[in-house]
Amino acid sequence: MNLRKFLALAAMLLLPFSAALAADYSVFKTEGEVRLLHKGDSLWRAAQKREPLALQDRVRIGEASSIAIVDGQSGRIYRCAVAGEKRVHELIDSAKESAARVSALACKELAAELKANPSQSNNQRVGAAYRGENDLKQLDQLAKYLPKDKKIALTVIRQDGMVHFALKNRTGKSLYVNVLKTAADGTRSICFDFQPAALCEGLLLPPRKEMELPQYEFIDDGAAYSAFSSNFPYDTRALQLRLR
Amino acid sequence: MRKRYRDLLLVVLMAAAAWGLSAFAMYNIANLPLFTGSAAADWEMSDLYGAVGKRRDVLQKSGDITLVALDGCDRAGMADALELLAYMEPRALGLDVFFLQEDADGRRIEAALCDFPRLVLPFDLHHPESVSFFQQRIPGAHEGFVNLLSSYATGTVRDFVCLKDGRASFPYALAGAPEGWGEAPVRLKFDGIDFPVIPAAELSLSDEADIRDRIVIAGMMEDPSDTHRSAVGEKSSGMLLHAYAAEMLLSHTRMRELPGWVSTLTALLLSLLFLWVSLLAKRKWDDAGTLLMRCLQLLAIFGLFLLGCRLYLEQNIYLDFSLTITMLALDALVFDIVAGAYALFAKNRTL
Repeated sequence: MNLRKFLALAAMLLLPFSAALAADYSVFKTEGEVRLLHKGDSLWRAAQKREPLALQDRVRIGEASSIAIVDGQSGRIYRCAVAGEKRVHELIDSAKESAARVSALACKELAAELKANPSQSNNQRVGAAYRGENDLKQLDQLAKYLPKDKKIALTVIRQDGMVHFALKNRTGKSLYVNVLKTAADGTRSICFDFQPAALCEGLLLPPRKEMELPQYEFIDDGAAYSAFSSNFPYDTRALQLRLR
Repeated sequence: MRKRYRDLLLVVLMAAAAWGLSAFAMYNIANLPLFTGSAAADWEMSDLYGAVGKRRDVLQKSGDITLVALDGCDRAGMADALELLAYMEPRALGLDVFFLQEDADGRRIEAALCDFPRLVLPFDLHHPESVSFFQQRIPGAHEGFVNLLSSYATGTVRDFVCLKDGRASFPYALAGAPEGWGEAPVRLKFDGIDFPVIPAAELSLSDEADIRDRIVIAGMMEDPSDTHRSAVGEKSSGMLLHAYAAEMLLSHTRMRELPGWVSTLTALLLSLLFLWVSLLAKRKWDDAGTLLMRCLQLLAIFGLFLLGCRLYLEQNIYLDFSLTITMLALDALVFDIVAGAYALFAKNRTL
């Protein structure tokens, strides 16, 4: 074997090792229970973001948990969501293998599609959040026009001294719905004021959909009810305060 | 000779019937009670390709973009986070939050924003007056509209635009308005990339390399008012959608698509071919021929799906095989109906 052949062979043999040495692995993100045992340690510890990893370190992934490992040199991210214990290099190899099997992934996706139950979701089209805590102009408008809302049909179902509601969205777009209660003395309040700041999602009614809410019963004290809607989510407690 | 013309006519008629049925299947089945309320009507082949891509366990960390999640912060918390961010010297900041009302903490936010070398603030194309109170007061700040392109009734986001009426979109402004992107919608590519996400509370502990000289988008990741149905998820935050768009612009990634008529022509030609071969196989091997064609049909459907996936994921080419696959599936149905009709009403003649 001449020198050139020897060098070529040595380079080929060393290539995988040099790649491993050049890599700079660390934890990119974790979900659920992920524990690490560094080589030479005897104590399993919870994986921390950006924690450096060696190829021989062990990773223990709990049920419904996952880890993503990033190679700082190449920027490649390797994910693993399979419960069990693996060494870091095994995890990276299995991620590479799995990513290469497009057919298997496609079959998995098709199976998942069959089981999936897609639902209507927020169809607002402005991709930014509002943080004007003190600016309640929109709520002022909402409070002002509450009784005139014709977009929502309300059915008040009275039963055994209790009352619950069925609401129907008459429009072609999703609306955040609620029910206004007007007591005999004229005081007004909203029935569903359990939502924390700006989390109105539970009250989002898809276009032309009807929903009955038997799980939310109120004492029937003879008050009048009307439905109202808004096309933006709002802090229900803030609206309640304005009505008072 | 006459028989050959009759066969050709028969195949063309069957293909036409399959085409009609496919239109019914694609546009009307979604309205059956089984599907009512689901998003079945709002579906494109690219959703499936993208979802397969999302399942891949090897991704690329974005080389330019980091997301800072301001969820759970009040204005004071956001001001703290932005002050710290400015200190960490990112290349640019895109703030995906509106601050309509001026107050003391709002003014702190304004002061922090002045320290970024490049700043992009959001505005709504339909309500340009509803911008942050400091929008016009920060020198050199850029604006980008945050309106998302969504299709159909359920508002699924699949595309983005760079320019509209000469005004830049948020991701386009953030990417530094690169050349070569016009007003036409661009298909978003969701797979293959992941962004470092740093919650505002963890900024002080974060790796400086994830911030310094990178483009940072700060906004709400979990806010329901800014979550949208996208091609790969029921709840994608607007900020994340902007990040995917900006990443495509920065990496010059563009999905190539064939015109719609090419997809239609492919579907028709494959359908005609399938029916012709089915006819020949049925004549030559009778029921065994039909069985063979069923197997071929399944293989062809799966093969097209795989081909579409691979081209989409590996070559950034989008081939919409939805009509082809539907027609191939319905060809068999039409063929069976015609063969059954022959068996019933033309006993002395073969198909």
